[in-house]
Amino acid sequence: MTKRIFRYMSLLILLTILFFAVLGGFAFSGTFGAEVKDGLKTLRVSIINESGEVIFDNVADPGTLENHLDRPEVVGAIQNGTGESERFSDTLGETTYYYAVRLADGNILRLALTTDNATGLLYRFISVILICLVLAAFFAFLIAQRLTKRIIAPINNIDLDADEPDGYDELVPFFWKIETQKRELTAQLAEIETRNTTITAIMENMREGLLLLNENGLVMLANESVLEILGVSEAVGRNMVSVCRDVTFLETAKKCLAGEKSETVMGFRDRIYNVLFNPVLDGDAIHGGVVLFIDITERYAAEAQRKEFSANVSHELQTPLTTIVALSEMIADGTAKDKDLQPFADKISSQSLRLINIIDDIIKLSEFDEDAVPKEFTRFHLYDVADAVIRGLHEKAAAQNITVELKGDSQLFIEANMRMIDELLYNLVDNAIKYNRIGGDVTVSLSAKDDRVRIEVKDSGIGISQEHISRIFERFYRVDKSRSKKTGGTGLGLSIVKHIAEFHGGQVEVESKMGVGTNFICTFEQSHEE
Amino acid sequence: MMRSTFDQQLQMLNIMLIEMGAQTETAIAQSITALKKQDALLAQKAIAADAEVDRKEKDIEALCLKLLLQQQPVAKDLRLISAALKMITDMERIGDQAADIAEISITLSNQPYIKKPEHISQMAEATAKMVTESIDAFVKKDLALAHEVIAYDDIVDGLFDTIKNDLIDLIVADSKNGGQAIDLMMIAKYLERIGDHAVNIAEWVVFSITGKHNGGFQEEGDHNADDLYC
Repeated sequence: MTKRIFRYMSLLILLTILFFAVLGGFAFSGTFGAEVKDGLKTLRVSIINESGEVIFDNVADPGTLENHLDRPEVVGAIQNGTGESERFSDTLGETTYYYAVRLADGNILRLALTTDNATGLLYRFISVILICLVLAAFFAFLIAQRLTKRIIAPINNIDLDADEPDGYDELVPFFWKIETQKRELTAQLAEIETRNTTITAIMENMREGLLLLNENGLVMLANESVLEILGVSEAVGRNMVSVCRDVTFLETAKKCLAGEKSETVMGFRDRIYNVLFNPVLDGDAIHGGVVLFIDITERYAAEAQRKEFSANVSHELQTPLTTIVALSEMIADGTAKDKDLQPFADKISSQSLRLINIIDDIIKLSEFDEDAVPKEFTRFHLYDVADAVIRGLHEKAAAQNITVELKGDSQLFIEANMRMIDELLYNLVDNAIKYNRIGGDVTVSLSAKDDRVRIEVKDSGIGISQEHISRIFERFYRVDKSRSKKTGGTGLGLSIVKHIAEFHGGQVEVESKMGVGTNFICTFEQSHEE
Repeated sequence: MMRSTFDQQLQMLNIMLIEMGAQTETAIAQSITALKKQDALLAQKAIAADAEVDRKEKDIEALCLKLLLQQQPVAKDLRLISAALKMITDMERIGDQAADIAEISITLSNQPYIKKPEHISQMAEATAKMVTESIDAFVKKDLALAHEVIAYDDIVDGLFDTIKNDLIDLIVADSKNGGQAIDLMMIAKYLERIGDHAVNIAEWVVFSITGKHNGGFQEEGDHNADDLYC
């Protein structure tokens, strides 16, 4: 490239000089002829006699001219035959050249030519020079443009994507540097792309809602889940107030953007979320905030249920305990009379029994909760088990004049946990008797079809209203609290029934009509081979 | 530079309007829940929320006046600012009426309802929906939604008539019901007014988008008449 630039610059200078010279030559040769002609026209001819008087002059009247004998050219001509001199006129900026020759008759012929001096010459030729200069400059400009293009062309034509770009040798280090950087960039881009894909995949697949806010509360990033949670179709680029108008959300988000980390529980479209606000900090500067929505609906419900359960347990245990404590205190401090002792003891005994029953049921349930019940299955005669349960409750049924009937295949064998099925039947039949009318009836039907056992316990009792049906399997839930107290239930029986059915891979359904009766249908798998 | 400040201020106005809308939504939701659940504590919260709404109204008003005086907006910007000035008045009224409902809820919280307030609940939900959707229409600049809100007012008015008839029947049945019936009637009236204010908001949304304001309701003297229960 250096060589080429040098070559082209030299060429440019030479060509310009040549052009200027040629142009100047032409211009000057043109004016030169005219100059000669003009010179001839302005030639002054004088004839001076020996005494120095001018006897002829083509310019001035000889009579008016002074004696010329002292003129150097005249002196020279008289003495040597020829003489010359020049005189410069400052005022006119001209120089006059004189040449005198002595003629044969002794007179002297003097020729005089006036020309401009150097400055005068310059003035006279300035226009020509200027035109030449402009033309030369234009010519130089054209050539320079052409040459520049030719110098630049190889640079413009470089294919940087080629493995070995073709161009000036001086550019090779740049090619090498560019190539290295290109490779680095490609690698970095690929890495960014991978990272981006990973982040997008994580974000889009996470169930939690993610919202990234900038310091002005503008949404920079929002995943699909958050759009669904907030019920908006788009969020990025919009202010947070356009995305969620919940006052708690907005206030907490504002605090977050002021640098405060916080957490709050909020409801969106029937779901409950734990919303975490984390400011994005860089040193002391706040760049925005990250908001994470974690669905805790189930956990929240479970927690509420647990709280309710604990409250219920305490309440259920407290009632019999208070009675026991009060009665035993009366006996201890002697305020109880002798005749009261027996009924008091009976009461203490029955309340203690109630306590034991409740604790027993709670233990059973907690075993189910912790999945701690061993899966022990045996093959047994279901009809016999049901029959034994009914016989066990015979007295209770007889007290209310209730008839309990057992229907179904008397040879039905099933494989299940016998103790649990016994408990299930006991609870269902016990309930059917407790919540029955006096003189009513209870029908227990047993059947098996396609590997599924069906136990049906139908009563002719008071029935359960629709609003209670969905809740009767909840722990300690009671349709009629006063009645339950009287009948002595723990409030956990149906909950246990449900767990037993689920333990055997089945479920419990309820059909009920107020004043007509209730039918509990329990179905589960017959065989439980490990 | 000047323009960008103006744009920022307009953006701020937008945000503040939505925030005020959110506050009114909360106030109305709280007072309705307080009424349904007879929760005096929540009613107190709704009354307190009204003060927030009032404060926001003052802030927005100041910003609007500042924008009008300093920036001399034209066309769409002018429409937004003038619509904002009108909308905040309606939102402030909604806040006031929500607080009024909450106040009545407090007195009703310690007495059993003479009748399960089904229709009132229904009406409350309908008006809350109108308020939410009118603000939604503003947020999304959704003309169709604004028109839906305007049309929905007929449903609220219909419910108002139903409640009125229900209460008349209750008073006729037993004059002892009179006290509570009047309270419930007041609530229904407040709800009906909230519906009207939501319509006004929706109409100002239409104005800020199209530049045309539906003045039909003004001729009837229905929505813009001063509130009877201010």
